[in-house]
Amino acid sequence: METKQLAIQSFERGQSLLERLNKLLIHLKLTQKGISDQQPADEIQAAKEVVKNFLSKLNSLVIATEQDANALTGVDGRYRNLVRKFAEAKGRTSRYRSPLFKKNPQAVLELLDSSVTEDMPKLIESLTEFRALLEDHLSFDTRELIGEL
Amino acid sequence: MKQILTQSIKDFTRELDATIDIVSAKSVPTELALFQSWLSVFYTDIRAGLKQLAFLTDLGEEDIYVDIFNEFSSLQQLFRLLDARYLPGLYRTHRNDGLTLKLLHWLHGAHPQTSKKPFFVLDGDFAILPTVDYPVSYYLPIAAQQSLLYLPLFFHELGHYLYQHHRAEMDDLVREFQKKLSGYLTPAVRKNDSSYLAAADRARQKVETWYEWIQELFCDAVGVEIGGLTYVRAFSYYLRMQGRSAFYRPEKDLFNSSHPVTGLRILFIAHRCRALGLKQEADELEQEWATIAAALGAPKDYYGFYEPAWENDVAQALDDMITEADPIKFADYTSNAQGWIGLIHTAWQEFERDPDNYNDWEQQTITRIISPGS
Repeated sequence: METKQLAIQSFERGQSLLERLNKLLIHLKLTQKGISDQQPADEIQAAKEVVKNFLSKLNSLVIATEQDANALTGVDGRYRNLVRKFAEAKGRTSRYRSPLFKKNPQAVLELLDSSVTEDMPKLIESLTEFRALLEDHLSFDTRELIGEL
Repeated sequence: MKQILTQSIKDFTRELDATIDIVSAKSVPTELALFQSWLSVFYTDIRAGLKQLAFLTDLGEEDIYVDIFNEFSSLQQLFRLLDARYLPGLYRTHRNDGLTLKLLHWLHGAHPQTSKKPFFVLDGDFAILPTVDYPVSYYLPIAAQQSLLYLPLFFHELGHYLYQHHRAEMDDLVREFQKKLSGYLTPAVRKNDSSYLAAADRARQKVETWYEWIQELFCDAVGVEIGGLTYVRAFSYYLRMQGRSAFYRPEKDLFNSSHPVTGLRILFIAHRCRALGLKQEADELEQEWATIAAALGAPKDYYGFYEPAWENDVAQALDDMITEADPIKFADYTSNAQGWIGLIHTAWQEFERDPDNYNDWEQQTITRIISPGS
């Protein structure tokens, strides 16, 4: 598989996730203030499902890589790179402080399903940090596909 | 920040409107109609996204400016990706694309996974960007755009898309295969010394490299399933003169490499040929490559990335992946001399029978395909 092929697949996967993260973050922040973002409820739910599916898979891969030095199987090179970046980020406690990194992706899956108001700031913090990690990861793919000015 | 967002949204909207006009005004071959309408819809969706961002910006809620910014940036990167890698497939379309577009139109139509999938072609070495949500882009060298002989290399490229289309199932099959390899490669005795850790790390990297390698071998298998002998000829002629690197690469170059050594690919192409009844062709292919390897004095050393004892495991994984993808079979098409497989088969026969006069035959044939009425 060529580098560009891996890059476009990673870009496609990441871009779709970023779009959902942005949508959710805007929705959560405005909901906290009692403002409508005019997004249909089913679209917000669909965005949650996409994020949950991604985090579930990430969770199982992170556990696999943390437990021993076994190979990450069934995933391409860019995905393996993301999993390892995530595992490294968990050790960088000065930069990544949300429950997603202090605990694990499973914690965020529970926050996404929670209806407790006090959970919302923790969810916003986790999704914001995850988006930052994802954007750093995708910048390589974007440079590979589009180049720089 | 609000002003920056507002100005940028207006500028982006202007650029988008201009692009939507370009897409709708362009006259294209019928094979690109699906791609053209996909682009129109996609650009219009981006525009709707921008309209939503304009609404959110007008709310004046500073807390969400960073999210609006991020979403804007995300949409802009998508737009620039389309501008750089997709729009040229529509905008630069040339009459020389006719042959390739017709072949790909047939190939996509023959598979349920791709019959509704937009695609386009661009200049470059043979390649594909096999995306699921975006159209599929195929690349081919300018010199090959007016020839029948190397068109079967697209069968390999289609394999990459079939993998993506069945990704969840394919990844499961590959994971199962990688776990077998892991069992063979990981040092049996776990010690906490540095030599064990280094060996375990090398084993891990070898197993992970096989994710990419098995997909390439699968795509070769798809090539043989669809093209039969035409794929074997195209593959061998295209790659057999690349030198020692076709047979041997230093160990450090193998770690995390995108493709297996070509000699290994030949082994599994021959394996599939035999499974499909092309025994003599498989023997000739292996003989041809053995002759070149001997002439170049290339060592046959894969540094433990491949062992002959794994041949059945690799072959079994490939069989399972082929069953999942279910590409069309050349045997169903060879008897139709006017169909693509029959035609390319004849082209190779013509070339090998009379290479000096082949070009005349090929040009007449291509003219009949592109302009059947002329």
